[in-house]
Amino acid sequence: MSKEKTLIIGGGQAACQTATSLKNKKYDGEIKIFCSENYLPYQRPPLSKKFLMGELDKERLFFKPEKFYTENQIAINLNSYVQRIDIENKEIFLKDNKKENYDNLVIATGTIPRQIDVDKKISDKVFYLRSIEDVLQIRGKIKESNKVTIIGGGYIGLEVAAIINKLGLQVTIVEMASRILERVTSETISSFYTKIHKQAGVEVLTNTSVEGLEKNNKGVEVITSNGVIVSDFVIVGIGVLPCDTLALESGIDAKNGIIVDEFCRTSNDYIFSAGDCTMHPNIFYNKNIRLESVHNAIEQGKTVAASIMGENISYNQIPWFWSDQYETKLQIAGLLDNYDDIVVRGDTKNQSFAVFYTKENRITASDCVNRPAEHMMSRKLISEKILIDKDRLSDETIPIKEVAN
Amino acid sequence: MVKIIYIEHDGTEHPVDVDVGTSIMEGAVSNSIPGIDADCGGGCACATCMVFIDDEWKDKMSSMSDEEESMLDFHEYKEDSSRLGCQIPITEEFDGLKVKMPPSQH
Repeated sequence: MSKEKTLIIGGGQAACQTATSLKNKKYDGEIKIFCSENYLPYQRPPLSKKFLMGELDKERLFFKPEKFYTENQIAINLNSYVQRIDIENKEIFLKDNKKENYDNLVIATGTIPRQIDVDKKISDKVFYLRSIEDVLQIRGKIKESNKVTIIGGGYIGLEVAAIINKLGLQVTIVEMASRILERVTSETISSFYTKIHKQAGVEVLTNTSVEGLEKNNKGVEVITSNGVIVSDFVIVGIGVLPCDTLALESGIDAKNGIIVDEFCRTSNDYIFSAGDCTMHPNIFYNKNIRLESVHNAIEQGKTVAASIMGENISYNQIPWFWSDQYETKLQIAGLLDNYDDIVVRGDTKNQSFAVFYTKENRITASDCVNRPAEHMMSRKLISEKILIDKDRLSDETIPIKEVAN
Repeated sequence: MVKIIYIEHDGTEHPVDVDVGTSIMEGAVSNSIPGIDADCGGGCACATCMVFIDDEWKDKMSSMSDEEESMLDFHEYKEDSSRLGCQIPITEEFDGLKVKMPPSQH
């Protein structure tokens, strides 16, 4: 009998984790990974941080060196696009019409940046940031520029603004909403980050929508609802879309992400999905969510591997994220779903404080700025649904480890 | 290159060559040593690369930041000899270093 075969579509964190976890679990079938990019699977978080700054070589972004894949007999196919899945015959079709059969298929295609309409004449001055290639291009552009406009005041836009500001360029952030980070955090955190960006010399324009981009002799004119901004180039960070088209066109259920259950199984018995592209159930928040998160990619990769091995270990995680800007590390736990109160520990005037979001005296989420202990403790308090006394939580004379005692 | 011996909790030893300038965490991850997860890739954000370092070696290493100490404090298997592997850059002095790992990182 021939060996079982697992194919993995995608070359990011979830894809790499699935393959690694299968190997750790002594999976003895064949494993093949199909990456659309020309690099071995690599970490994305440093792209908008140390790698953009030029402090990290690209080889250090790779999760594993090439020899890992050869030694473990994981076949890595770079530059390879999967065009179609035939779910009846359990086959995938590559761009050159080559086909490959599978026993298990894992879709870990991630996301792509949401695009804006741009005239071809200026498309060489408009950048997105999702891949090594994107950053190499932006780094080249930074060297020959003085002024950049960033469209979108989300985490990517803000991290990039902080780095480019450090590199000496004049940076303007344009945000359509009434405050930066509006979609993902509270007024308290938005105000804090607005303040530190402004202190560093970054211009932050809120309530400002972009109406068009025009070429001019210096670069680009960004035409906004609040006037025209001239800059050498533009970076767009207005969110991402899940890469679920391949799944959808192949007859797998998808709606704002590939729909999976708590075992990362799709609507097809032989197809699994992991990472940013999934719409999955979260038991702590009792709803289906899509996450753009390293932690989720890792844990779903492990879940898929367990499911393939027939172990059925359900995915059961409190989401967490982090963001580095200037000298601050923001660690985020939980989802800012619904809360009835906010408790601040420390002083937001300093660069070290924690914001806890509570509902009926239980923490549901937290944003911790340079407060790793508070972050770690809140993850515990959220997952164990512990009742807390808000006065103790904000009282800095009580160590964070003891607030719930 | 220096030789580092990673030791799993069950005593299994993995002697590997690691580049000077990378971290103890990177040395483990790139050689697929089981027992170090390194979820955040070295950002001191997750505490899933905890290792145990004997005293004789600890003195040769950079001292611990408050950040590292706070993260470690919440690790289930924290001991006095605990460090986060991502926070220790490897130098020539580390040739022969033994790094022990906890039963789990979560």
